[in-house]
Amino acid sequence: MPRAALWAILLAMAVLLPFAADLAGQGYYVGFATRVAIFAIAALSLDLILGYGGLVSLGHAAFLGIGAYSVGIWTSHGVTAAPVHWATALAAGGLFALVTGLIALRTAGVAFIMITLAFAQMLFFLAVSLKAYGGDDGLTLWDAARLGPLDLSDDRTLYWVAIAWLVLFLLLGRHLVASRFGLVLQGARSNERRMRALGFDIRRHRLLAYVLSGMAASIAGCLLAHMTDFVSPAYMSWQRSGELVVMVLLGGIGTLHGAILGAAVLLILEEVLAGLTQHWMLILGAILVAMALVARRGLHGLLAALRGRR
Amino acid sequence: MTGPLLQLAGVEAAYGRSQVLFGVDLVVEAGSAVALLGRNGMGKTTTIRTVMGLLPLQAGIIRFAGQPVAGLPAHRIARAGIGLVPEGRQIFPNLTVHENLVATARAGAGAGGWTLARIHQLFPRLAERAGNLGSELSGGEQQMLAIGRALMTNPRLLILDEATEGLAPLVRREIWSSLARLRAEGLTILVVDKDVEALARLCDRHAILERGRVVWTGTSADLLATPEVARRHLGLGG
Repeated sequence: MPRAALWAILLAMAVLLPFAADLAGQGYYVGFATRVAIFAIAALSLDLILGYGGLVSLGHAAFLGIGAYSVGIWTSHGVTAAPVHWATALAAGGLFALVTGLIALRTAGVAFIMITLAFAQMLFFLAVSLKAYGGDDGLTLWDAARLGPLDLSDDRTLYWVAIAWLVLFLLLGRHLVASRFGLVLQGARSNERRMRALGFDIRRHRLLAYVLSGMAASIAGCLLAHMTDFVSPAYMSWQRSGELVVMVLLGGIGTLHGAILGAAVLLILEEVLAGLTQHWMLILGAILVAMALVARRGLHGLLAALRGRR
Repeated sequence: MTGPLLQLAGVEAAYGRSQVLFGVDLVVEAGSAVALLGRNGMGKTTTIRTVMGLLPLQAGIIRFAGQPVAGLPAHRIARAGIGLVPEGRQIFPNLTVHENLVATARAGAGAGGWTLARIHQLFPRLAERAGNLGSELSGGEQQMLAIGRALMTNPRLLILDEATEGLAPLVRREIWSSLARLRAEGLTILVVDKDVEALARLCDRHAILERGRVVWTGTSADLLATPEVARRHLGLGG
């Protein structure tokens, strides 16, 4: 089957999912699918810097927090227009990425992991100290965000909005990684010194990738707040950042759509296993270890290998 | 522009505390081809890396097109118009042949006007292998790609570190003939290799490095006329 047709079918299935859920009397799954789409955006944005830039960030959840608080703070002041929330999140996320990236990108490897983690923790504790916006307890959003005539508290509407953002970011991401910019980024991942000796100031390329990645993840944070009607510092905990890294690794790094697959599979596994036993973390851990051993290139690589064998 | 395209005077460089270059003097005139010779460990690669700004200059002067380049970051030096084909090729294994070439394409300082089509003309093999990953190429194809990649930056000076090392004789011949073509088109070349005969055919001048200094310079005729030079400094001809 041609690729375009496959993508069209997947997209059609994603768009029609709420109707199927209704027919099956399982409206709950619309909310769950929205969650998957939101984390897919966050994982996809992380894959841009992790998979293509070779930069392992353990602070990516900070951007989820920035997006969520953009929604939360505006809403608490009576501003419910989603475009305002989103524009604020894009600006704040981009700025945070720019400032922290300027510092973090002076390093690489383990130092980069530590610095991104440290910045995310700083933001976490800043949110805890924001008593006016709920501090540690978080902030409940009493008014639903609106997108023109659309009410984002409606499960289906929010789901379609999330899917639209996901598709947009996937298309933009694919375009970006195939561009000269993306090629320089990938070349620098395998041989940084060579790329510099060919005349590229790769720190600028990496900074731009980091900023774009942070902006996309901030949108995921907005959507998360729209969905839960609640904002709290927990959105930017380092465990959450770790989860995003696991999603990318699970799906297959450096593929973009692998990150979407990873987000979906991890969230489904959590859901299914948590329904089976309260010790579900143990099973999940075992599955992740097995994946790391068997499928080094993640689920994407596993699928590609299976296709190749046939 | 007046003066040589590349000029090194009294260049000293070190890896940490161990000094490798003790005052290298070298001149590469625009439009010429110069060979840098010497046994292993005498400082050829170190000289090139110092020129490229990949290793800090401890003392001395490096001028490219009349401008001092010492202290500039590597990417600025490359942009001034130096294309490097490094030892061990170092192509990007995770990019395809096509991607390796277009990633680095740049309207550079040189007037080469290099395009993908011209690279394919120079190395037809790269056109055949356009969709293959860098990691799937043979050594010869990798070297062609490394040269193509450097040319795509439109350099005024092409530097090759170990132009044909480890390649099959047939591929070596193809590399040398392509370098001769580039030379004939007016590209300035600085090349390191061990094949004295091939270098004598390609280059106008030769410089021999020994323990971090240039101990001999001369023309191709000088080099071939005095076999004891090659014997003493390069360990050739027994």
